[in-house]
Amino acid sequence: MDSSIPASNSSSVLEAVSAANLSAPAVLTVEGLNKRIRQLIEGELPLVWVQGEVSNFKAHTSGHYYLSLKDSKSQIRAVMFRGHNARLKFRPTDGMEVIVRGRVTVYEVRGEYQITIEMMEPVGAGALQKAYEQLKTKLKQEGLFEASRKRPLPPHPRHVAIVTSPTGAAIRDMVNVLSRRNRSVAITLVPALVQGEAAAPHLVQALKTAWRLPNLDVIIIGRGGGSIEDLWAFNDETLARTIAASPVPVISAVGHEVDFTIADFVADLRAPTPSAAAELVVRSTEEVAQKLRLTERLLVRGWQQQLASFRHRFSGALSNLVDPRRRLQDLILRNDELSLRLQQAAERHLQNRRLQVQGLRRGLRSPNEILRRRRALVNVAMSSLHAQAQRHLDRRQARLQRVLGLLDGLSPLKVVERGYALTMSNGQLVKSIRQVQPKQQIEVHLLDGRIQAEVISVKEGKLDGL
Amino acid sequence: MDFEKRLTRLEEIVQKMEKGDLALEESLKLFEEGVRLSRECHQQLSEAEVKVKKLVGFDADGNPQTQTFEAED
Repeated sequence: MDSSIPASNSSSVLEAVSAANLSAPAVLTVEGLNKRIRQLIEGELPLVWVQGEVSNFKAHTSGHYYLSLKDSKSQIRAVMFRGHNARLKFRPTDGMEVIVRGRVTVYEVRGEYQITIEMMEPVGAGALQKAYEQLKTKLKQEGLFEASRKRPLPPHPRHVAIVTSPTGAAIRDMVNVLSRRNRSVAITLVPALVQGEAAAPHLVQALKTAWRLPNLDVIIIGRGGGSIEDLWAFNDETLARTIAASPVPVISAVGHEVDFTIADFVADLRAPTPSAAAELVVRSTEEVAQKLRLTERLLVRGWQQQLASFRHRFSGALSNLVDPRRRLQDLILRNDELSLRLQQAAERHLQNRRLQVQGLRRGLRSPNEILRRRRALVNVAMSSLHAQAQRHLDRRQARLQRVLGLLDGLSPLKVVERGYALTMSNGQLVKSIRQVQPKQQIEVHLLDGRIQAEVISVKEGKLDGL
Repeated sequence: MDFEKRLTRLEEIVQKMEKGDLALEESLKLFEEGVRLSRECHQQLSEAEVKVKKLVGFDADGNPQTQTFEAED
């Protein structure tokens, strides 16, 4: 028993009893005795601190804890009512060495006394540490920390909720990082207490509130650095379970890099600090910008390839178009050759006839009549030959002209030499004046670029002017 | 049109260009559309500033009510 119970106090009670009835020893009822004992003990031991080992621990369905505290020599029964044990961060187990604060109370009906515990703390490891380890083990066994449960962050988050204190360092750091990046992310701050007894239920409520935000991509929950007690709310079991149940991926960002809370283990992603969480969100947006730049380069390259292909086809066509000139020369040469051969043939023919005539003249004493007839025949043949040759030539010439005319009309060569241009308007190739109006914007595409132009007037007419 | 849709369309255009079986007129049209899209994408990226809103509640229809939030330095 505590030495603070003054013996004089007890004796003064006895003296008082004796004084009331000196003639006979005072006889008390059992009830009366227990009442006096109760008054004595409860009056003298208003509050005690006791260290001992937990044994016979029982958590009753009513929510109260029943146990004994013992040491090597002695033991005392103890109770911890629901209202008090709800605040415990750990669950007592048999064999655990604890220090308790409580009142000694007497149960008059049975004449028993016990200690009613108001506060309990494990001896050795800090209570918080103990509780942390216990909860961590429990949730881990339930599989809440499994990597397979972790969801990937959306690649391009556009709406991010931050659950934290509106006045803390965390939100300031995150806003700083986000502003520096200057990217298109909507941030909604969901204010919450992050410290103290009320913080855990507050965080749970704020998290659930965040779920109601439309088109939410990710939630960051956290706070700036502090002592283990400051960060304690993030080791709350209900908060851990709420994070695990979140329909939206959750990034935890609690304290500094060295601080690990239960929230960190259960979140989809742990950011070492609030600033790092902000960087994780905007880094993805930076990737978008990179992708955009890459796509642009591909677009320009694709266009250059297209142009190169058109140039290639065009110059191929040009080289084919050079041929007709040579063909014209060939035709002229052939024509010359043919007419020469024709002339020679005609002359040979004439010569033959002459020889025939001479022969006849020699053999037939040259009757004038025959000679005249022969001469006439030769003349007829000659003129027929000439006519034939001329017709042949004419036909060739005419065909040549037709071919040349056709080629000239089709050949973009001359046009190109004067300045080949495509006129575009509203994305259409302008092929007629009916496609454009005065004041209309048009684009004149040349091989090496394009001219933005406005139509001044439109006149109908043939291309004679050119 | 939102950023994602623009970027997706831009990628489609690049794919068509890379196939290379387009008429001059069509490829010119696509290139111009591509240039326009990429300009718009850049604008969207650079214009958008990060605005932090503080949630103050929800209205009767469940729409979030916010106010501009300025972090204290």
